[in-house]
Amino acid sequence: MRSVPLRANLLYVPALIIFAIFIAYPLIRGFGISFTSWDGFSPQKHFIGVDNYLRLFTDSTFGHVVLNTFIYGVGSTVLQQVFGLGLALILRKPTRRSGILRAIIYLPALVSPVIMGTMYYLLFQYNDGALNDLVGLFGADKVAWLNNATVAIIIIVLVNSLQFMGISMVIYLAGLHSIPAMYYEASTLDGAAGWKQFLHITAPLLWPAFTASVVLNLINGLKLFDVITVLTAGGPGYSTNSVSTLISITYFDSQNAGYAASMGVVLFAIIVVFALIVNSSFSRLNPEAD
Amino acid sequence: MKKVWLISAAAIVASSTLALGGCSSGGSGGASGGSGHATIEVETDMGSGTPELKALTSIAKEFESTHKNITLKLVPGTGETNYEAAIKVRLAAHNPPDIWMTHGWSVLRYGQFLAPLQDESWAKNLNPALKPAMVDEKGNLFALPTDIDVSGIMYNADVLKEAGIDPASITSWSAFDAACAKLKAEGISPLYVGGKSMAAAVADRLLPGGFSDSALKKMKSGTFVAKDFAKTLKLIANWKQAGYLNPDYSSANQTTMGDALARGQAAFEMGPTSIVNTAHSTNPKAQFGFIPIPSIDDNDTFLVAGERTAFGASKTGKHLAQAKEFLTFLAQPANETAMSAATASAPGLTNAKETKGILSSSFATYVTEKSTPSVPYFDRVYLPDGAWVPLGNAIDSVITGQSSVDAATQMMQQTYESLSAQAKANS
Repeated sequence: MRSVPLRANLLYVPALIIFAIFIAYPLIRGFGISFTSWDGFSPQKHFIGVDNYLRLFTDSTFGHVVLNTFIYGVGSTVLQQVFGLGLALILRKPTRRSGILRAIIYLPALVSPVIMGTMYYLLFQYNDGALNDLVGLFGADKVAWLNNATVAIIIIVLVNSLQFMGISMVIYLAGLHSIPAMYYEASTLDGAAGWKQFLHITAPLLWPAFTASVVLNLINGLKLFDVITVLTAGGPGYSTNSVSTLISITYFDSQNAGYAASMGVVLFAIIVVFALIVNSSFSRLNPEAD
Repeated sequence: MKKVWLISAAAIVASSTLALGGCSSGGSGGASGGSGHATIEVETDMGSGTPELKALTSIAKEFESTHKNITLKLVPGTGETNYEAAIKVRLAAHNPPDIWMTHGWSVLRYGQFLAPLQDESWAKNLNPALKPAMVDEKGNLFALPTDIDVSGIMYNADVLKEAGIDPASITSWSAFDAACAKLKAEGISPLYVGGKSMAAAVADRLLPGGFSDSALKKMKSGTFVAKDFAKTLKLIANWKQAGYLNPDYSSANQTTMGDALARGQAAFEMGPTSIVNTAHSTNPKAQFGFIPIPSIDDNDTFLVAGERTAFGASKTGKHLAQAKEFLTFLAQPANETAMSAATASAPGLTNAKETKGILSSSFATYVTEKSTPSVPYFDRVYLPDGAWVPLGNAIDSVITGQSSVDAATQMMQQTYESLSAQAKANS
């Protein structure tokens, strides 16, 4: 085997340094803090063993929030695949109009989720909210959309999906453009069209794009933070919190950094396990795999 | 290949050491300029363009013009929650600003990081109403207050007048309920609460009226008195049941509270008096005031008073002497007057002048003339540090019907005990 030149290997170093400082070090420190009762700012840190982890398993709020996190992760992922793939199929032909539409659909992904959340807050707010103005046009009473936890969760999933469906669309467009046209030409000669072509050519060959899009959206959905903070601040009560927002509240507001760190470790484990399961399942289901 | 990995590992270790060393450097962030020159970083939670920041900026400029060897670096805030988080991160990194706003926490939270100031020339003029909250058991004073937060139940005087309600007649919760029923019948939200961040502010003002003196002593010494805590929750639950709270409770915040009060959509509110400032800027023609808070068990009324805008100096700051110099300048009567006028509040020092503000009429009636007794903010004295958000969530869960009064009380008791144990372990 030919050895890699020294200079080429040195190119890894900047990435390794960044990884060590911004990923590995905080992860190790966070893991260490999770075994303490630290308040997040005092000089003293007291080792309390696995108490924080034991508390997690009896904390009903944390259980509820983990469930919310899965709803945000899975719900956003499903919607983004439906919207993203649908739009990619509609806009796959490179015309001037489709180019403009693609740009418009992708634009929200470039906006900060805080701004996106604020814009939707103005839409859903009770007084002067655009949606309640529409409701008023039909003579109905105003609705407090964000008062109901279930409705608020649906709104959060929807807002997050609408913002990032452009990314899924771009991934699927790239996948669609990589499928050789000859497959479609050959299948047309054989009498296949529409749904049959999608099922037997497009879908199998889009599998790598599908895998990438699902894993990406899933990880982002499981980490959802900004939109929740802006739209509901985790309320009513703790009902719309994700693990990420609960970590922030527990760390900074409740001043229980040790407990927040243990939540962070569990969230990390959830994301790793979930991503691995999804990845390996998709690899096994990949129609292109040997 | 081994050599490459050795080089990589060495580079990582070296750069990590440099970066982390930077993170944990002790002392203040105030960078020094030339010889004898000091830059003092003053971190505040005052938003850009607020009257408070404008007043502070003007005072800082005046200070710099007379103290050529000191530069003040004023850092505006981006909201109270972000400010608190930012300060906590800086304290954790052993990199506090030279001076920062303590916003009610000069003793309990920040006391261990701040230089004692009780021997400063201005300290003898501390407003007596602030002593219970700002002076610790050993007599330490850790911050200079530029105003004093006196708080009751705020109201829109025009709305009450139109509904034929005399605010002065509301001296009990039954009178308050009667007024609420009247207002509700007229299509106005009697009590407007911003559920996104202000639920705890309501509880903070009501709780002192639900506790007996002996129960308060127990709370202070680490025993949660569930029976008395539950009284406040029951009061709020009854308001919710009677339909006295705003329908947009969950999505309302401090800004919408000010807006609703300004537009006459709400009659009563409980929270920081800055809400009235917001309301006044939205509708300068509207009249506002406040009334004392009734007790739950008897006919007494009280006001809540405490530290709000106050500045402490880092005890590990490289330029502590210069920081204290600025605080002494800020404490001068004219500057103290300007700062308190900017928040429409009474000054934190007795030698400063009280200016006419939006709430000055209520202040004159209930503080100056009637000498209504004032109590400290409940959470700052009787709850462990870090209980603010759980307190808000307990109230929130009752208002939104997610928890019964008993369940929410139990939830709060668990938090109280866990945070008390944590505070004990860390002390």
